[in-house]
Amino acid sequence: MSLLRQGKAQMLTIYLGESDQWQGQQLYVAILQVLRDAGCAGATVTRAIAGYGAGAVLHEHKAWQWSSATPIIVQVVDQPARLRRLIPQLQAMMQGGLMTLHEVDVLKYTHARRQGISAKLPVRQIMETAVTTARLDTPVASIVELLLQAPFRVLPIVDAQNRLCGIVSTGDLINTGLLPMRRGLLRTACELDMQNAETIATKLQAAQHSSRTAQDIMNRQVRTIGLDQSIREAAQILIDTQLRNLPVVDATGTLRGMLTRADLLQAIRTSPLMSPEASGPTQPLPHSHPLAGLPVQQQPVTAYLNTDVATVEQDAPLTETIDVLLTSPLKRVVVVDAARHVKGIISDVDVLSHMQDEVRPHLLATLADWARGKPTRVPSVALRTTSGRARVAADVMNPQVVTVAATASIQEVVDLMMTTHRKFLPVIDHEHRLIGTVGRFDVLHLLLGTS
Amino acid sequence: MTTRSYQSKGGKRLRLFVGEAEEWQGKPLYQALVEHAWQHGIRGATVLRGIEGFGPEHHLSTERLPDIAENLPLIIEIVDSDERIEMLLPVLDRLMQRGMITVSPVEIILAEERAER
Repeated sequence: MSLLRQGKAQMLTIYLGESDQWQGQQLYVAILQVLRDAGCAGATVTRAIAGYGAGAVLHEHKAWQWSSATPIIVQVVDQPARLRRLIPQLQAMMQGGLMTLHEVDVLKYTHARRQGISAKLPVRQIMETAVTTARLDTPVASIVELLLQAPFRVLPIVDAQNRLCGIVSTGDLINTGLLPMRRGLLRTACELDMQNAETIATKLQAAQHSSRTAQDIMNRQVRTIGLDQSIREAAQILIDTQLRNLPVVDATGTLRGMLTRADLLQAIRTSPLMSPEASGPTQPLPHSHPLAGLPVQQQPVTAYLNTDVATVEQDAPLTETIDVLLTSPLKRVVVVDAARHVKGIISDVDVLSHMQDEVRPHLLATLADWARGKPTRVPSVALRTTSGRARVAADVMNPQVVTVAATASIQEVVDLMMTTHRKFLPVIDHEHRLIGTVGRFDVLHLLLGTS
Repeated sequence: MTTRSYQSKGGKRLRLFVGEAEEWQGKPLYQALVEHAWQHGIRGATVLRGIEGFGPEHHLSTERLPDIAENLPLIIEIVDSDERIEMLLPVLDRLMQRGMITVSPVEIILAEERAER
């Protein structure tokens, strides 16, 4: 049972015959087994009363007649990526049946409410199983291309038996000089204008002409988790190591899936850990907990607040702003006024997109140096606006900030993060003053606080 | 975990909602609808029986109460290409005095032809 995020999903409908067989088993039973093993969100089988055309028995009679085998319909709703990966396998099992796909809106998906999902839930139930991997001999150029385009930040490297040998992250690519800067910045730079794209293309040529392969650049010391270890253990590892992704392996070292911070956060969100009835006696909080006894979902965000937040005032000069930005652990600066009211937020992407075209290549070069741990001065052309005025923090900030009140519950924070796709949120007090931030990382502690 | 590709094409799913007791020229309506689909070259149709339901006239049918179980809802599902569904629609429409027809777009994935059985 995987986590089906609310929103867009696809429904796969399979039409087959009840008497269809697969390796000595009823076909629909075998298909259900495949779907379960793949960690699908759920499946429903219905038996029709009559029909023709579905299943192995062909109907090429001259006269009309019903099919002798009862038609069976299997319906699965899941993430499009997972379904698309499964289709070839299902196709190979079927004998003349039909499958259809169509888009659906998932309005509600909750699971195992009755039993109550605990922090003991094995990671296999929430991991992502549709994982893109590369082989040991995959050229670095392909790896760079994959990581630049893909939604994921790490690429597991496997051998021919799909055993995990190492992992390559975008961070590794930057450290080995194959990627000039972090990916979000690269993408924005390419979208902004052609001149930047050319600058970047030049920098990426190192990767294009490299004869190295995955095994030359991969990180072999990979922290993994077992299929049946608990999500609580996973949270502990992600917190201790500050990793965002954790490969899931079985006893033979074969890669079976990936677990991300977002997956865990989603687990917290849809699990009854967050419901009052489930966080009662069955989910006791340790006594050391800030507000032991209060249901988890009612814990105020302040219990998980990170008060060490990088800020600048609106009129801070650009050099200072970039300095604070690049040294901040989260690579984000919150812009505040003298009364610490939140006015905006700045990431390196925001800085870049607020520059005039001719300045961007210079700034990109600076940011690339910083990414490799070699701080250089912000180019002087970036310091002034087109009208000649000195550029300040307010000129490069994104004023669309999603903040959360200190009185908000953890449940509200997690919901807000998932619905607004924010990885961290500034927290404000009753007078709208910034008191800290809360990130996905901080919220992970929730899974440790319950037993 | 390499991803194999598969062939698919666009098409439509037709759903006909009728009553089990309804008739067309002396035979069950659902049977007439499926036969007409077959005669028009449609490659498959599936009939499902609902266990309870009501239609525009709000007459409840349920298998829980045998007295009113004589006209349970039936759903006929037909998946085919856009053209064939469009061709078929007026044909089936003529047979249905009441009920509902819905059409929705789907991606059709046909099973691979397997050599051995």
